[in-house]
Amino acid sequence: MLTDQFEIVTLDNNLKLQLVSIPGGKTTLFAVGFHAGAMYEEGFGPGSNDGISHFIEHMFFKGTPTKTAKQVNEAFTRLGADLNAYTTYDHTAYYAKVPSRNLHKAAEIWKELLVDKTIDSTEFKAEKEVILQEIQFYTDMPEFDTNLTVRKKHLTGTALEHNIPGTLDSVADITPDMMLDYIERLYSFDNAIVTLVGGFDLETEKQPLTSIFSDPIAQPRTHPIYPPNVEYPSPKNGISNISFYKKETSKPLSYVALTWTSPGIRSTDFFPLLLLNTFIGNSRTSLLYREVISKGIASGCRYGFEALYDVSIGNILFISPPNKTEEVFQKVIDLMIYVRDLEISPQIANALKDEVWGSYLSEIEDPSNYGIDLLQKYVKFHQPLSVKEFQKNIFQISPEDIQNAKDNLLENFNITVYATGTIPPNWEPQFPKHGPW
Amino acid sequence: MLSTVIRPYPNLRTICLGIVTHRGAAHDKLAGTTQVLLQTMARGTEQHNETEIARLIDGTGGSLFSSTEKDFSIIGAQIQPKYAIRTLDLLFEMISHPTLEEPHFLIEKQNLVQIFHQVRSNPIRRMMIFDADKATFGENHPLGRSQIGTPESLGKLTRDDLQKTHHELLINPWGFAVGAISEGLHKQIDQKLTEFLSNQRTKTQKLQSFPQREIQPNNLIAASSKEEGSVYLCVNIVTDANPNTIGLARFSSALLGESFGSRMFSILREQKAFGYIAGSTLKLLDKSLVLRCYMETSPKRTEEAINSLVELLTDIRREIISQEEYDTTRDFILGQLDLSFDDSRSTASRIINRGVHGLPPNIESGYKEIEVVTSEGINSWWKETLLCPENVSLAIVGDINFAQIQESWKRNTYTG
Repeated sequence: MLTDQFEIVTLDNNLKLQLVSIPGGKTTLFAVGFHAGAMYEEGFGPGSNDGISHFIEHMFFKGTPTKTAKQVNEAFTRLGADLNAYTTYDHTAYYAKVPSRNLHKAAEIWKELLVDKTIDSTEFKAEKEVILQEIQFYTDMPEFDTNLTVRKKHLTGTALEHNIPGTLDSVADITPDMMLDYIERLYSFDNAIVTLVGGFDLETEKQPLTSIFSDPIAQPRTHPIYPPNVEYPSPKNGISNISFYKKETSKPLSYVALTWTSPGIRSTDFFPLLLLNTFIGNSRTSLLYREVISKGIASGCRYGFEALYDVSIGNILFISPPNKTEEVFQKVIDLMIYVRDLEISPQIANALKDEVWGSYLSEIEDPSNYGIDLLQKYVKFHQPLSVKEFQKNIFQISPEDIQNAKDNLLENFNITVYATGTIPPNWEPQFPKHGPW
Repeated sequence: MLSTVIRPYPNLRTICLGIVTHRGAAHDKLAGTTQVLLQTMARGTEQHNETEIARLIDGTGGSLFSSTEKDFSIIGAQIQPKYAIRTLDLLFEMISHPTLEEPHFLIEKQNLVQIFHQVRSNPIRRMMIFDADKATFGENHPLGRSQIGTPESLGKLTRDDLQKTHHELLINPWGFAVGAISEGLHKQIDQKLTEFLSNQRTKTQKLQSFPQREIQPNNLIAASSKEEGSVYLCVNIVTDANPNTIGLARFSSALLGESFGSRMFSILREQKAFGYIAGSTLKLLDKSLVLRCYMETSPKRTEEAINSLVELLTDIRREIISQEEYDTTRDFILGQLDLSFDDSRSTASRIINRGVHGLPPNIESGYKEIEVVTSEGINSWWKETLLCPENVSLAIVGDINFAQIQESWKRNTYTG
């Protein structure tokens, strides 16, 4: 990764191309990201545009000025592409990995997809049905449902309250006109980043690729909206606080999710917090694995973290038999207190740096992960962050940096807890008496 | 028999390596034994406890994995090249000298019971992990049982059973290494794997075939659950696997549901908007090939969805696919093969899956298997062999009227 060639080109039509050439690679990931996500939506429920970002994601491949939706799908199929898209709070991304021998053909299709959109009413109607089913699908998955709900509860009253897929009511009321208005506002070239990562020669391909994406039919529009001007959740200073919500269902296990917010990517605490995340969750060296899963307290205990501009969202989901729910919750809280009181030694800091860096290198072995990672970094930092720069950011962190980031986080710590499935009678999560944070 | 399979790919940056054994969950006397065994083996050896193992592998950014399939198992790791030899030694230790301590065994057993309940509570996972193979092979058939067992089978499992299974684990084992392997490393890995396997008490045996499938024609496994808002269904088509049918099956799966241009995606999802999920997979299981077409829809459209899916299947038998669709599907598969070399773990997984099932243990052979497939060949395979009631079954989960679904499913038209 450290020998990969990396270049950013800004075209006359304001479109930015992030090009990364991997020596010896045989495939290329094309990804397009727009600063258009759930936090840019307005209102909730019927008549609002709650869920519109995700709806547009579904409509993105539904045709171009020269191709029907079916023709677009067939064109990607013929290239052997792995095609996909996702929507989150702060951006929407579309991507396809193709054999590098099909690089130019793929670029031509992407260029067509990027120009002004029209909404076909038949496609719109059918896709709305699909999305309503998708919302139902998420509701049927207790893990998904628990995580979505706890975030919504915790982030109430802020721009992040939006459920990314929207609700059955809000999606039902979305119209093609609302969609066109949203596209007009947010799907501009200066609000987008195109990322290509893979096995192509940068020197040879830079000119043809910039030529394809500079095509005059791709007219510039100017609606810069980043950094976002939205209301983020603000921590309640001083005293820690738990808000608790629950919904009993007939599932035999308890699903309990805890969520909180921490500084976002513009904070100096951000990179130290990345290391702290590794200390707390998911690998076999982490605290949650060693103290919860490995000891058999709960079979499922997952740690999640999503970074945005001004705020990051952390969460822990644990799944346990109901008679163990209280014990698991208590264990998680005890671990948080342990983290609060822990002094970060140089040994701990160095071990965390090695693990974060090593797992990052493994993660981005596949051009799909590599390309999406670079795209997300560009979207969130509003500037590129190459592998080398990421490495530098990680290895310059001192034990004191991690200590300070931890102290800052826990000083303003508020948790929302949401439980579903079978919940022990009369159970209500409590902070232990030896708090506050 | 294979001894080691080493595949260097200079474009990769990690190495995936480990040991494959031909003992899988279907060999378990008590369902779930192999899964518990593999999980417990990672909990410590005579030389290293679990924390030390985690530091040596995860601490460097690597990952340790074990995989219990119905007909084989894998113990392996994905790691940066500089740690490959050290990791092999550690894997060998885990395989040969795990402590299998009682407390770890009890925790892993208890974890698996919880995972059983998690899977049962998630309708699509329930359908794919429990019900699809049950519908395909029969409820009591070794290949029809889930690899994670049941609370009942796991409740009976003792540490003695685990130790006994550990002694039987290395049936026809072979080693693998895939990824960023330099010439020097190639030799070292080869030597280590060969040496390890020759020193083990391995069992080389002609593998016994599992019994015949025990299902009724047009078998149906339905789980009615009022709690789900959607209905999840999966049509399974099973036949004997042999080198001549691999290409036909691969082509059929791609044509039906593997891409945005496939028939299931374009007709069931895009055109008829049944639901969010519509796709197909192909699985090699012992000596069988299983083609699965799965989808999700609203309860009120269940019958219509089943009928539409069956119609798509019948169409392949009824009409020879057009040259254009043939070309698109073939190009898709060839392109997907090109995408199969992008990370060491998934590349290794594909190679292992082929090797275990008697196919050449490399992805490159896949190109040749597709090149010999013709439109007429697909059509006659579906007409003469594949689409008959003995081969086809349905698994369904959700808020359904069982009697109504059963009646409708038995009336299918493909038997004509």
